[in-house]
Amino acid sequence: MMVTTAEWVKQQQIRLAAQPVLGYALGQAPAAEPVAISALTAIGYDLRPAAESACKCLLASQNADGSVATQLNDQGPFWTTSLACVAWQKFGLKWDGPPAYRDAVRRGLDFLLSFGGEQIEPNDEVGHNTLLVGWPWVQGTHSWLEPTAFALLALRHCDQSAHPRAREAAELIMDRILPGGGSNYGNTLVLGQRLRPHVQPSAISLVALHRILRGGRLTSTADYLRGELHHPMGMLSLAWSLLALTSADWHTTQQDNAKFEAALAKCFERAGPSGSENPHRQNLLLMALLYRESPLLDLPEF
Amino acid sequence: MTGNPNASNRRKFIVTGSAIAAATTAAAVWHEWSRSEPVFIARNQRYGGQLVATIRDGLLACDLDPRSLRGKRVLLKPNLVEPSRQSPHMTTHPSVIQAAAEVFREWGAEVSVGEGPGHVRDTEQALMDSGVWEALHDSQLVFEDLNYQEVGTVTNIGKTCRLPEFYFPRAVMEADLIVSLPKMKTHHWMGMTGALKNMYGVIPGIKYGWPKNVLHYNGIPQTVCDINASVGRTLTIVDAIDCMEGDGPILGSLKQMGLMLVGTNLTAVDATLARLMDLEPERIPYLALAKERLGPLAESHIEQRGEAWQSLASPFLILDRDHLRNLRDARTHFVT
Repeated sequence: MMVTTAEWVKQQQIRLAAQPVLGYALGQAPAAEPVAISALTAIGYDLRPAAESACKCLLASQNADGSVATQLNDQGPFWTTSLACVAWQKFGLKWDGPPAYRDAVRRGLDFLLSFGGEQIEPNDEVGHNTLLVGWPWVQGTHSWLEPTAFALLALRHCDQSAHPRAREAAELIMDRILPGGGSNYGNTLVLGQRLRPHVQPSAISLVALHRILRGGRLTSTADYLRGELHHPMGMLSLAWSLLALTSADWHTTQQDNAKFEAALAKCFERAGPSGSENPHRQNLLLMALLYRESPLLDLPEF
Repeated sequence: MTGNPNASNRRKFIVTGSAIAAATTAAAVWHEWSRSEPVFIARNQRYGGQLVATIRDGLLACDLDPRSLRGKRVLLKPNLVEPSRQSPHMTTHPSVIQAAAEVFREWGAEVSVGEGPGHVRDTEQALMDSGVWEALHDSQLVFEDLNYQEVGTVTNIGKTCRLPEFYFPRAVMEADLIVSLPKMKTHHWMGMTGALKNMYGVIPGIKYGWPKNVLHYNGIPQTVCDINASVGRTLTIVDAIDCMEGDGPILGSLKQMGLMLVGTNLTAVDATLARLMDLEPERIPYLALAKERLGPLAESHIEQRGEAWQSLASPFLILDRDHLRNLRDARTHFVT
């Protein structure tokens, strides 16, 4: 029997409350991105004990230099420091968190601001501005879209919107949007050919630029995502799309979330009756189903 | 989880008559590749046809002993670098994966499918866009997301790049045999991509990024060579039915060849792929490095089983760019 969205949300909150510290797949060791998303989702649904467990896990994994590694150790890479900072900040704002979280945010931001993507001499082989610094996946390599977007979200959520690196990050994300809208991992043209967009990075671009800019290629990116909703979509891509399209419709007077129901129904059907196969993906979708109340979208104008 | 698979008891799988000595040494001392390696080619192949029989025949023709597979963990590694509904010829066809799985299961192996897409972080989406999601469910195959698993470290055996070690995901560390299932394609930086380059997908994005920029910064030819030297036991089954020419490996156009290739030495198979495309193997940067280190390029050291490549060769369009123009002698079949 098909589960309704409301029933699914209820089931997932119970699951999240029971196990907030998790990895990328069932049974895998905890990892930073799933734990940070879990924390933010729990914050969004007022599940304080779960949020606290997740935030404490991230805190325990923070290295001396302020970094939080993808696999919660000291071996890098460290792009997940961004997501950890957002989680701690949001917890602190909601529940007047302990000083340890404020200190963790400060150290995490200091770490993020201590490095950037490697610049590349401008050339005719790629179409984007290779001198914009942004953030890389791995230190010592070029900047790419998602780590830059996550760093921008961290700076914005943690009261650093005015920082020059935040401004440049927004510029980089815009620069990596394809002429017709949408983004991929972070190239636009390669050897004269325009690349194709993908849902997840396109959506993450819009979320990172939430309430910064409107119109132009952001509108065409939102149009691209609306079109993709008619095709089978993975749970992570769907979740990011819901967040992105909620952002895109921020200034409309009437939010119509019913338009997402068809895509959600297909997603639940594919996940099966229990839907318990990937808690990390489920957490992100659960967060996205808060729509305007999602902690990730709780941002002032830039 | 850390460890060197060279010390593992699981890596004892031996292809009849061809122990891969280089992969078991801890030092970068390359022995000259003096023996011949078999490469099997089948023609007139199509998806939904007799792929199971073709793959079985090909593996047997390459001297694989089916008895040695009983109880072994076999990881099938297709190419799902950046699937798109608009380009089914970019990625390994699901029916090739299913057929390969059926053959290895027939022989008593424990089979799973694994991939770490290099350009797409949402692996579920990549599986759906490539059609592999349905194939996995239909064939009840476990999928290992190589981008996000716990990792172990392996000493860089090849040592042609500066990286002292590689991180490999758990499923790769635990496999007795990794089967490279590439798509036959051109490549806008390397000229071509085949069995060896496909192994970039065993490198986890959670450690190397999307794209796996760490590898590019350390040299694509060098890292291709060294990953293949370090990853352990491999063989390859190439989807050369619907191929890609022009601006591969992502945006190229369809070229139908109707072939399947099988081999226990990935370098020998890639050299044959290059010849089929009318490219000079020694001029493909990663093949030039692999030559005599990982396998032979010379025709004299490649035993053709099944069809001979000469009657099947058909020039693939490649980009008209400085770094690609020398890959063939003829100044034809370039595209802007």
